[in-house]
Amino acid sequence: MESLVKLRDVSVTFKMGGLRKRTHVHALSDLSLCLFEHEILAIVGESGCGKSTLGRVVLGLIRPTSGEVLYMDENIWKMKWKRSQRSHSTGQIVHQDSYAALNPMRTVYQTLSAPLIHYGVKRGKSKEEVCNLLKFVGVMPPGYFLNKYPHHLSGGQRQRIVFARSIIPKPKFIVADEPVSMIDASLRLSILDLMMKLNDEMSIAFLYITHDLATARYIARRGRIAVIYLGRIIEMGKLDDVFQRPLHPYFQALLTAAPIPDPRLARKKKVLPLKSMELPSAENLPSGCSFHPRCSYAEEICTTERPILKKESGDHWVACHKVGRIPSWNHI
Amino acid sequence: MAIPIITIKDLVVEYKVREGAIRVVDDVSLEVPKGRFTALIGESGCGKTTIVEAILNTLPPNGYIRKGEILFNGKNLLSLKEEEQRRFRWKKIATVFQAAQNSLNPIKVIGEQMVETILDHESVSKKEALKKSSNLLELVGLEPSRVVNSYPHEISGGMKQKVIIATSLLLDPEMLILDEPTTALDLITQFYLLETLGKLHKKLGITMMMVTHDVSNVARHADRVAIMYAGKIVEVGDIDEIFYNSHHPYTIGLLNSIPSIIGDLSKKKPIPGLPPSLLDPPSGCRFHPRCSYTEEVCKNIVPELKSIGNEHLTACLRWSDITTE
Repeated sequence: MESLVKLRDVSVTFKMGGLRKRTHVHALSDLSLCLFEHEILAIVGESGCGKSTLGRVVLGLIRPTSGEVLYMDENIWKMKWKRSQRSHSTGQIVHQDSYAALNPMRTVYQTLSAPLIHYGVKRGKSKEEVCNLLKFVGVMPPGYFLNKYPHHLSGGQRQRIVFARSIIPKPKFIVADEPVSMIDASLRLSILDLMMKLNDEMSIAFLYITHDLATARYIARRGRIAVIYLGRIIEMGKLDDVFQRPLHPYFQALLTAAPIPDPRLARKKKVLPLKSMELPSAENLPSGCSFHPRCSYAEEICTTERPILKKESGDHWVACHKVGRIPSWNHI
Repeated sequence: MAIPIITIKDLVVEYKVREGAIRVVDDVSLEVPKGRFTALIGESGCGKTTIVEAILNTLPPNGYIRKGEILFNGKNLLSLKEEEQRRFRWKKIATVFQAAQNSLNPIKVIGEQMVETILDHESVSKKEALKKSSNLLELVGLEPSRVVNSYPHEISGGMKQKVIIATSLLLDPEMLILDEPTTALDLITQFYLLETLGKLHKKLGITMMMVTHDVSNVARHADRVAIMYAGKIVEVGDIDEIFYNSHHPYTIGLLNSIPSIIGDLSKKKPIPGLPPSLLDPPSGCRFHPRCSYTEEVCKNIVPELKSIGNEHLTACLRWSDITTE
């Protein structure tokens, strides 16, 4: 598989505060990652771990403080303006709040026809094309929705319109940042199914950013997952491998904490093996392994030396000094 | 069946809006059994929070109770005078609202806020009040010495939510209502908070009612479940009955549409169609446009919530043809 976007030792630091008290928030630290063509890569982590920053770096919306972002093996921050413009249109983003993403003064037809015309559809054919697009993303019947405004639509329908708009430039990849967390439970799967359809039929790669392990598992079942903790990848690999044999104590804790919609199994759950429930501040990262203050397996070395992301087996990568020496994990 | 602490009879709540009156809660009857952990589950806009607001009589200005009764230990809450109602809230039923972290006073330390609440309702010394506050903070798993003298901005969101739960227990209420207590919390914090609630329920034997849209959240601790759809309660029963022996197509569809971190994904599928607008709800059974079991009769007759044995109630005309799996 060809790599689409490659991050090499990317760090992003935000300067915070005023003149007197300057602090630095380390959103991402020395992170390397590859998004391949036609794959679905799920990025999971808790709020504040840097997962949204990662999405914006992949799209070229944030310039990393250090490190390289390569699109098709070319550094996007060293390209000529015209070329980089074109490369930007090969990646699209879909946000959590579809209401904020659509212009409230424009109808569905206006929202979708403008980019279609920009990308070369003849004016006379735009209506037909918009209808085809709506049909493709499952907003039916298309004629009924052409003159609707965003506030007439349900959250699920609005998110479908946003996806319809994002595929007009025929992007190579879409960064989907929590696209289903504002959608009703009974409809969530239909939006995830739509993303899988776009992946299948249009070969669009997805970077699916979420805090919800269950939806990550659903959408990336044939893809990969990367788990982020305080700006670093701590575990990465084929989704099935990582879920079946989680090796990092943090990911094991996340899996233990994730609620299961099955009472008999849920009641048998173990208690979480963590020392503290608080996430350390990203301004003042712990020394060594940044998870060590909360890890119940931490040793001397974990407090001084930072573990590197190492290959454990096949395509399964883990950053932990004690990998293989901690108890294997079971759901119950 | 345990004695009901709250009995809701034929409750109808409407909101006045520009387009007319929206009937958000339509003819709902529900018993909340004493000493148990009941979960009220429904998607956004189905009227679950409105039921809580009706119980506490805290409906927004454009909302009103059209008809029905709400009994608390046999006493009709709707006939109470305003001052009686004010005394009744917190003392009898305490509530933790969504995003309750923000309801702490930012310019007072936690201890002061808690002591104030006790002194306002009961005639005890300040020292006793402080002792009680500390005990409750300890009960929810916080270190009193650290929290009592902190301002709200000095503690994390999860701790604030625990402080709110401790505060809600200050007046020894008989019942605790929680409206989406874990939204805006991280996975791990959420796990600890739910553990705390489960522990409180076991230890104190207090009646709990948790309102949520997320079925997974209540699977571990709740023991009774009511499912709501478009302003109506469609199924009520003990948790295992609802999850493994449901007789309502919406419940089955909802449970089938929730992705999980374990189990077979290929059986998961969304419910077709969209939730209806309450301004113009479908005739007959409100779920009929999305239901795969719909027959002609479902379009005309509104199914009543009726008992099918085993303390299990369901509102479906075809319930006997419908089972989980």
